Formats: sequence, structure tokens, C-alpha cells
Amino acid sequence: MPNPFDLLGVAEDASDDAIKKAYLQRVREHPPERDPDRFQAIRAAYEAIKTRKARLSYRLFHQETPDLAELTTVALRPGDARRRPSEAQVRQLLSQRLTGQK
Amino acid sequence: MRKPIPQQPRARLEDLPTRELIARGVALLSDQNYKDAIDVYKLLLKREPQPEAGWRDSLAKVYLERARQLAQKAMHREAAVLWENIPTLCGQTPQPDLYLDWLLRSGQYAKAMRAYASHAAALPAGGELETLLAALALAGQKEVLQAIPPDAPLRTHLTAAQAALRAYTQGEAEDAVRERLKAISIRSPYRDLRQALAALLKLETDPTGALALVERIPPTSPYQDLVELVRASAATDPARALLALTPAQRELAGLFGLDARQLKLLKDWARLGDHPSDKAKFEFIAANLALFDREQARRACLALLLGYPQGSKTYSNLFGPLPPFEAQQLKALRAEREDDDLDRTLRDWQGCVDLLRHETDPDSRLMAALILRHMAELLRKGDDGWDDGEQLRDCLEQSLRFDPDDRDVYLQLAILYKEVDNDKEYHQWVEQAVKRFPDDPLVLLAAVKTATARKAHKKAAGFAARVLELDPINTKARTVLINAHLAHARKLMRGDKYALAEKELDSAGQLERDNARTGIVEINRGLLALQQRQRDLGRRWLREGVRLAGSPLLAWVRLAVETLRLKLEPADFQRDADLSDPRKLNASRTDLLALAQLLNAYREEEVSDLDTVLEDLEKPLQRTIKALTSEDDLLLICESLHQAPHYGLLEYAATRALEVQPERSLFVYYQIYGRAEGDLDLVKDRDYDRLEQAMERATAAKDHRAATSITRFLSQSPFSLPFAPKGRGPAPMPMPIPIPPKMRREIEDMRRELERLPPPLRDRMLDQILDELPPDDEFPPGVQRALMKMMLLGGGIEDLLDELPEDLPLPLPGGRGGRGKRRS
Repeated sequence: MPNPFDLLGVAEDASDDAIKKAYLQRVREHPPERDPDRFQAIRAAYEAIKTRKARLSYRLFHQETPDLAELTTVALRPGDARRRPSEAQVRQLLSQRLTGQK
Repeated sequence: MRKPIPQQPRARLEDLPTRELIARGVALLSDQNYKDAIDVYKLLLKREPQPEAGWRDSLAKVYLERARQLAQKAMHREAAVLWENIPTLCGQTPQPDLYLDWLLRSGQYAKAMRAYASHAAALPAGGELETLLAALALAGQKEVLQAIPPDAPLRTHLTAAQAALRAYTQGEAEDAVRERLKAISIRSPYRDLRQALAALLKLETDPTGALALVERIPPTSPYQDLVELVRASAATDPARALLALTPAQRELAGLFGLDARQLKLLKDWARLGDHPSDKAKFEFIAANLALFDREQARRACLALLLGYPQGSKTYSNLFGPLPPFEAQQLKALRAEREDDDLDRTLRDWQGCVDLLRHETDPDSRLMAALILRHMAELLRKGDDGWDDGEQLRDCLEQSLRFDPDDRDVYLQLAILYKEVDNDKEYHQWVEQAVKRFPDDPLVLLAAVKTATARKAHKKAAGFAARVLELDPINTKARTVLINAHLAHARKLMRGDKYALAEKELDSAGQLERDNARTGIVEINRGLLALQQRQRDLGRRWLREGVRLAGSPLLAWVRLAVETLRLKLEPADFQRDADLSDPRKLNASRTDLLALAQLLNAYREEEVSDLDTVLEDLEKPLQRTIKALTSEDDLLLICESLHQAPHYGLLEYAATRALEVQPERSLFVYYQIYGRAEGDLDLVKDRDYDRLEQAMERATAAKDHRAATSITRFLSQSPFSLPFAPKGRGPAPMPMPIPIPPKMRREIEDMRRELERLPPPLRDRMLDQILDELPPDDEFPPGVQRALMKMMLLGGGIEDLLDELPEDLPLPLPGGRGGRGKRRS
């Protein structure tokens, strides 16, 4: 199961109300009739952390290895200063595409 | 095994007549099997080379289609080679643009440009090929550049394209770059570059607008990498989109506004690969720690220590030494993950509880309770039947000291005590639950059950009434409440307190819903009236009860149960109720299935004497059972008769079921159970063998229900080891040692012989018997000897354990071996 806090987009110290609000928001974005798999994941995440007791239980017993993509995504938040690529970089990208190299 | 059928050798193509060859060619074309079609059309061309036969065109077509298939698999070089056959064999050059495209994509630039020159007139102007050549020219492909004629648009527009690219990449102002882009016309072979650069420029001020610009670039364009970069960069979650890019695309991650450290992180991420080990993940976090949320990174590293304990030292260096609780938690989680020593896991979790024991903050106390409940769950899962669940109950009881507000734990404890027949504790835990959760329907329903079991009907009715107040549509509570009033009424009737009994019956009647009347209240009213010598009134009520019961069969059962509950004889009321002789009743399949449900409901109410009730119905029920053909129906009937129990009818129904579904293990069990009247001692040797075979079949077919039923029955043996605590639900029962009846009789004889002997002689004789035991595949000699001694002399599990040699590995209950959970 992906980290339920990340899936619902709440902090680990979020309150019951905040978690419920985030859950309902996610369900609105992914209603069960349109996106059943995603909905199931959201539902499972909510069940895992909806109360203080559930959150403590999750913290005590869940053994899954952390989702590095989530952690890394936070670390890769883009800054304001976008840098343009160099001409060589664009040529290189083009060459790789044209010769099928990745 | 079936013998392989020898295959007829396929006729060689050369041996086929032309007509068949043509038909085969058409079939291959229709299957898009161009590879084989080439051989067919080559042969046809060889046989009929005259142009009017048209085989050249056909062959050209299949070559081209086959080449296309290869190109779709990115086999561009092979596609080009195949195309080259067409001019040679068919004298045609269809779609030279495709040929060129394949040459270029396989890096054969010189050859491609020669073909470009020779097929120039046939090439479509402004198509995908030109865009591809333009992209190669821009990328600096010398062979392409040299071969482009000076006056071709590819050459004349190149300078403008290069200038625009240079202006953008060298950081010129937006307006300046736009001016350069204007120099590239929309019909230019460089138009996709123009669009891509415009989008990249727009990204800096209006990411959404940039997305709209790249929409116009076709998906086959050589600039698709730039398109994907624009899309990722303008995404709502650009960091996640960034991780989904190809390594080549990520080289341009500066577009996202990442700094040098982030770019390094991205490179490290790429090196992790698709399935990094815990060690690699740990080191990745450690190497880029400054970029992560520190607490999140710490938790991630802590979680990774489970699979990478060698990282502990690095962890301490990065985050400081692990607090004692987290270190202990890690130890417990690791023990649990290794899953080979339940005692060690429990000890490690207990260590966590001990660390929290004296904490006063609410979270610590709740954590202690949660850990104890987790331990209980581990014990439940690892239950091997060697204890009676005391440790599990102890964990749950302890947990309530830290968190007394968990309703389910009270109810679990009550059930656990009931399972071991400790009624005192069972009632006590329900009472405690009621005190703590007086308005919880589930708790109140449990309280109804315990009060009913203790014949405290008034108390039960009070609890049920409260449930109905809280939840007026709770059918179970309504039924319980009606039954409580009825039970109280019966008690009053038996004590000749008729007026009070009538009041109770009124209360029961008021609670019944009109669409769910069963006739019980009316039958009791009738019996009450008859007891008071009000014959007409009594008859009316009884007949109304019979009508409401639904069918004569059900009415008879209802009447019989109600009269027996009042210690009366059912037959005395048969005429008053206008019921015919039950032995002559006709019952339909529907009646029979309804009867099964009724019997089940009575069993839930713990009504006894159901076998007496069914006695008079034996003949009519047998007639109906005989006509049943559905396995499901028969299963339902067997289950119900097994519960009732009525052994004769059960055997009859199971025998019928075995005619419908021969050898189904569960039916074999029901038949033998019925025949032996539920007593293992009465099972004949032949049936014993059948039971064992049924058990083997059930185990092989993973039919847990049948396997459990048979094991339970076999564990009745006085010689089975007392491994099995009572009432452990559907899990496979711990291992009994079933002993065939014949052998049991022999052991019993030996035991009697031994008892007659004076003690010193008895010991010698016993030693002699034990020494002469034949070898046994199932048990080592020491265990076999101890078991036999226990069987001959009696004694409990403690005596048996005392007898076992200390260094002897015990056979695991249930035949588990290998990595089963060890319990000391």
C-alpha cells in the first residue's frame, strides 16, 4: 500500500477532520464509478489513518519499505529559475531520438 | 498418455499446382502472413513471369507489407534490406519515402542520401521525411548536410532554424527569440522545431499556454522529446512527471528550475534502477539528505533498517542514536518479518510494552494497548493448540488497562472465555462491556445472549428493548425480545400464573411485525386458554397459530416444540389444532427447506428435544428427502439434521446425497456420523476406513469444512491427545491420534489385563509390551513408547511430556514441518 498520508496529501500530524476532508476531496477527484482502483486505494488509505488509534497502529506495525518516489518528489520541487538547455544538449537529445538511443 | 499423432509431411510449395498456390497466397495475405506469402508469390512469378499475370505487383506488395511489419518492430535495417528486393525482382520502387526513412533511422545516412537523390522526384514534398531530414541536418549530421542540394528548402531554411535554436539556448530575450522563429515559415521542414521552441519559450511565463502550442506537433515528430519535456514541466505535479522522463530527457531538467543539488539527486535516482535494494535506497537517502524533509527521511531510513540492519551505524551518525523504544520496535518488527520464532517476536513486542508501561501520555498508553492487541493477534494466528488461549486472553486483558475504551476487546474476551467453557468469565466480560458501553447495540445483543443463557429472561428483554430503542429495525433484537417474553410467559404458565403469562404473550404479540408472524404467540395463547379450560378459545388460537405457521409440517413442529417446552405432550393437542396425523403428512421440497431453516433457528435458541419433535415426522420427511436431487438442498438438510441432531434422518439424507454426489467427503462423514449416532465408538471398522479416505480426499481437495468436521469427530477418541481446545472455529483441528476401533479394543483388553496384575509384575509386563512395539513411520521410538504408555495407563498431556526424552524433536501438531512457528 502506498503511504496513506501521501496518497491523501495530508501531514503525518493531521487531525481526524483534516484527514476526512482530504479523503472526501480525493473521492470527488476519483469517484468509484469512474476510477474504481484509485478509489479503492484512497478508501484503504483513509481506513488506515482515519483515527488517532489507526494512525498510531499504522506507525507501529506497518512494515512496507518507504515510497522513495514520494520522498524524492518533495525534494525535486522545481524552483522559479528555469534554465534553458544548451544548444549541444538539444542537438544531443535530437540525435539520440533519431538514432533510437535512449 | 495419448500417443502422438504422426504428422503428415506438408507438401513442398514447388509441388503444389498453380491453382492451389494462388489460393494459398490469398489465404496468407488475408492472415497478414507476408513472410510466407513472399515465397508463394516468388514461385508464382517464376512459373508465370509474363507481365499480364500480375505476379510482380503482388510480390512487390507483399515485400512492402513485410518491410512495414519489420519497421513497426523497430527493425529498420531489415525493413530497408527487404524493400531493396522490390526494384530488383519486381522492377518497381513503391513508397521510396518509407525506404529512406528506414535507412535514416538505421543510421545508413550515406545510402539514404544517395536514395534521396535518385528518388527525389517521387518523394512527397513537405512530408514526414523532410522533417526527419531537417532534424538530422539540425543535429549536425554531416552526410545528410552534404547531400542536400543548395537550393532545397532543407538547406535554405536551415540557417534560420539554427539561428532560432541558438537564440533560445543562449538565453536571448523572449522577443528576440520570437523574431528569429518568425523567420521559419509554417511550411518549412523545420516548422516542428519552430513550434517546440515557441512552447519552451512560453513555458517560462505561461506553462498552460505552452501546452497548447505543443499540441500541434505530430506524435511522429523527431521533436517529441521536447514535447514531452514541455508537458512534464507544465504538469500539475512536475516533480513526479520529471521522474517519469527518460534519462536523455532528464538531461534537460534545468527547464524545471532545478538547482545543481537537485540535478545530482536526479542522477542518483536514475542510477537506482527499477528495483533497488533496501541498502541502495538507504544510501540514496543518506547521500541526498539535505534535500529531503528531515523527519520524513529519518522515518524512511528507520523503515529501511528493517531490511538493511547494517545501516544502523550510518543512521546513528545522521540522526543520532535510536531512541530505546524505536530500537525495540525495530527489533520486534524484524523478528516478526523473519516469521520463524513466535516466542521471540512476542518477547520483543513485550519489550516495547515494558518501555511504555510507565509513560503517562495518552499516545504511549494507547500504543502499549495496541501492541498487546497485536500480540494477541499473533498468538491467534500462530495458535498450535498447545495451550488453551490463556496467553492470548492475558494480552487482551492487559491491553484494557492501558486503553479501556475498546468495545471489541471486551467482546473478544467474552467469546474467548465462552470457547473454553468458562461461563463465569464470559458473563463477567459481557457485563463489563455493558457497563462501559450501555448504548452499544452489539454489546447489548451480547448481553441478551448471556442473560438468556442464564435464564434471566427479564434482564434479556430489558437489554433487547434498549437495542430496539436505539435501532428500531434491528430484527435480531426484536426476535430476541419476543423470545424473551415468550420464555417468561412459559415460565409463568408452568407456575400457573395465567394472568401474568397472558400479559407476557400480549407483549410478545405487540412486538411481532404483521408480515413476520410465525404463529408461536398464537399457539401459546391457545395452550394457555386450554390450560384454563377455555376450550373454544384455545382451539381458535391454536388453529390461528397453525394457519400462521405456513404449512402443516411447520405447524406440527411449532406445536410440538411449544408443547414440549411446557412439558406437555404434543399429541394431546393435535385435534384441537386441527392437525392430521404427522406420520401421514405430505411435505414438499419447499416445506422441507423451510423446516431446515426453522431447525437452525431453534438450535440458535438452544432448543433441545428437536430429535423428539422429528420422531413422528420421520416417514414423511424420508419421502421428501428421497425425491431431492439438488446437492445444495441435500447439503442444507444434512447440516440442519446434523445440528438438530437427528441421527436416523441424517443417515438417510446423507445416503440419498451420496447417490446424487458419490464420495463427497462431507456426505460420507454425515452418513457415518448419523449411523454411529455421533459416537466414534460405534463406528464400524469399514466405516472408519471410509472416514479416513474421505479425510484424505477432503485434505487433497482443500475442503476445509469436511476435513474439520471429520477431524473433530475423530478427536472424540479417548486415545486422542488432548491437543484440541474446545470450539476453536473452522481452523483445522490440532492433531488427534485416531485409532481404528479394532485396535482400540485390543488396547482396552491389554489395559484390563495390566490392571489385574500386581504392580511389580505390571511394570515388567508394560516394559515388555513397550519393548516389542513394531517400528512406526510416524513417530520416533521414544514418542511411540510414551504414547502407548499413556494409552495403556491413562494420564494427561503433562504425563506424556514427562515421558518424552528431552532431546526429542516433537512432531508438530497438524503435521506441520519445516519452517512452522516454533513455540518453546
